[in-house]
Amino acid sequence: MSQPQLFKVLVKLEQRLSLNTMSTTKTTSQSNTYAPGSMATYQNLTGSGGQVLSQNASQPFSNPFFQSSLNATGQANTNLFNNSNTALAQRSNALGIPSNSPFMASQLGANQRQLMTNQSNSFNNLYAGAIANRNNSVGSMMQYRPLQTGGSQVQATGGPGTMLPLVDASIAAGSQVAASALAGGNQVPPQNPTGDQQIQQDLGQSVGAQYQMQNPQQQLPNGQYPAYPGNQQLSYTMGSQVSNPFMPQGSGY
Amino acid sequence: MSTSTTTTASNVFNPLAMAQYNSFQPQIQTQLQNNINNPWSAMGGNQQFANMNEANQAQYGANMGNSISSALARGIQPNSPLLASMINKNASQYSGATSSGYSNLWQQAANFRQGSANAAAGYSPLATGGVQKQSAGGLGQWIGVATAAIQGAGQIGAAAVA
Repeated sequence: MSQPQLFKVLVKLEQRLSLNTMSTTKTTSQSNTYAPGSMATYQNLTGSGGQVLSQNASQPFSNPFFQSSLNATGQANTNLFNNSNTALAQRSNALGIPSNSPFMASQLGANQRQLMTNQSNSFNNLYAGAIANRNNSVGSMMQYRPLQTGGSQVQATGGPGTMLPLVDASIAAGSQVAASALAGGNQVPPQNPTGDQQIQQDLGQSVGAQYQMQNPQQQLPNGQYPAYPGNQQLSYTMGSQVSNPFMPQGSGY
Repeated sequence: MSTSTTTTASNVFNPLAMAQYNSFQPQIQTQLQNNINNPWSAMGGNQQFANMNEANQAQYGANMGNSISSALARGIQPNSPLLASMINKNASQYSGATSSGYSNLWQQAANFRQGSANAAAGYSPLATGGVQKQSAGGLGQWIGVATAAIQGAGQIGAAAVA
């Protein structure tokens, strides 16, 4: 079978075998391990911390802690108001000021305004804090990342290209058998040519010629190349009688 | 007929530091959770309020003394409505300062709680290693084997024909 024919067969086989049936799948799975004590701490803290952040972000004014703060400050302001009125009444009584006098009414009114001022300031203070904590919670939630416990990676290699080595080998083997049969067993080419043999086949030249082409500096004055020494062992011992084909005769090398 | 490779990595820590680390973790958990659940008591809110109130009362008492002394120095009778009004204004000032301080403490508790929640949500356990498993499968990995087998069969066939 000639090379063009072989090529055509290869292309047809590749087209026929375009199904992705010869794929290779590589799966890599990774699992991380953590210190047991710190893992238990993590599981407890991530739940309670996450709950607070979620509450502060979604319910900044209705979450239990804000309500507790508001109730505590409101109760304290009321107590202060009551204490002020009690002290005023005691002083007025000691001074002989009638409780139904305009002065007492004025002073009680002043205490009432102070209570309103205190309640307003307390609420605004807690309100502004809740807004700030809400933003802070949203920022923390945005930065929150789940704990990575592992991962997996799947690599799949497929396509008709993966078939080429197999098809190539099959055709090459079939060709060898056919060539042997046609030649009657006498002209079977070498199965695994050596490097030099392959060069000979490709260039149609002797190894010596190949050597000469790669060593043009050895060209002799007459334009010819010296004979390739082959496997001849060269001796460069001073005074040796073994001739060196690269040196002039009688040079002593 | 798949192939698999398992790689195990384990980190090594200084034993003393590791013991220290292990002793810290329960404390961290307890403190943060206490700060989240009881921020007022965790930051000592009652004690802070008592200290603040003591300072406010001292200031209130000083203001009262100054008002009375100033009134008497000017011939204002102690039982006069003017002095009573001045005293009541001092009491209102005390009330406002105490109220403001108290709500500030509650806001501090809210911030304290917020900080602990952030710390809790940002807590990461100590990584001590990991296991990696690699496996390969599929018909494609048999291409090399099949190629060699076919080549060998071809050579045997060629030798037999020859």
